[in-house]
Amino acid sequence: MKQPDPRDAQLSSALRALRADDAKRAPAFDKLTEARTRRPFRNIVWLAPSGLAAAAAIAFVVTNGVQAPQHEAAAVSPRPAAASAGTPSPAVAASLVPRPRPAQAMGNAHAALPLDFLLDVGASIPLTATVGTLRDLPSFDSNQGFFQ
Amino acid sequence: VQKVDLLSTRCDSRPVSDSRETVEAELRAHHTASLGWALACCRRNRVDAEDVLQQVYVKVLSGKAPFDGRSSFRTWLFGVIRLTALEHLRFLTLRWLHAPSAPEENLVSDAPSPSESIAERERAKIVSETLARLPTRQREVLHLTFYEGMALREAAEIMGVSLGTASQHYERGKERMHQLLHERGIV
Repeated sequence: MKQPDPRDAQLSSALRALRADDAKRAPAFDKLTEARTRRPFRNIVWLAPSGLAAAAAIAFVVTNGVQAPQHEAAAVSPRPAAASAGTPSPAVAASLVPRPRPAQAMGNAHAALPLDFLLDVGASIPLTATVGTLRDLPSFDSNQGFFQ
Repeated sequence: VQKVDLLSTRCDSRPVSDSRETVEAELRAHHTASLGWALACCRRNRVDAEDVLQQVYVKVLSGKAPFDGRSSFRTWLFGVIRLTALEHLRFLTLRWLHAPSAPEENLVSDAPSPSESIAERERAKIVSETLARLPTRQREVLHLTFYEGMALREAAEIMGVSLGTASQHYERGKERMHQLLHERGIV
């Protein structure tokens, strides 16, 4: 005859105690018989992280894509009130002297608008080859034209 | 196939319960056991278990999952709970894959009620955590046999496995559960 496993009684006791504990915490039957209305913002909560990530990505692209060149900010400094009086003080006059601008921001529109990638991707010939072709063209004479 | 059997429209000519009142009375009588089984199917997560049980009650009372009388009401109800829990856990997995976030807070208080001792509550909590660490099949079969007091054959029917398979999970689960409880100082 098979001997009863002594562990069975221990497990049975432990799980019956758990059952009694679960029964104490069980919600009322009537509370669970209606369609759920308990957590209406549940989907919003789990969609929020992905929505925020998308918004952050769009904000990053927008702010970095149309960022104004640095020299524009320097050009719109407010004019001192003393300048309108006709006799500026030496300190104000010194501040009005145009300061040398960085070479990159001065006339280098190419640096301000880095659009090389557009040319590299879209053009069938490289930019240097295009410049070389233009350089090889004969100078234009309005009396003769290009084709003699 | 099992899902179709359990949730299909009524094809048997032996409907045990027709009226909503009768079905509701049956559900009410099995309410505590159903919650326990839902807890076992949801890795002892009380919030998920209550969600699953609510879905089951709405499904049964609205007639979407009619009882066909081919088994006992409890066996049929436990089968519906198990399948609904599987769907629910699949949904949670997809949701986590889409937007992994911190686990949801447990909305149900774990604090001991005034009528129970802290030691009893602590013991129940440890047993619950230990059960949650078992593989699904082992947890299910131990729940059905020790927690519900079912025969192994009925447990196998609810789990949708053969008696031999259920017996294997039963033995392995007992061994593992005893080892884990011993480590926690419960047995």
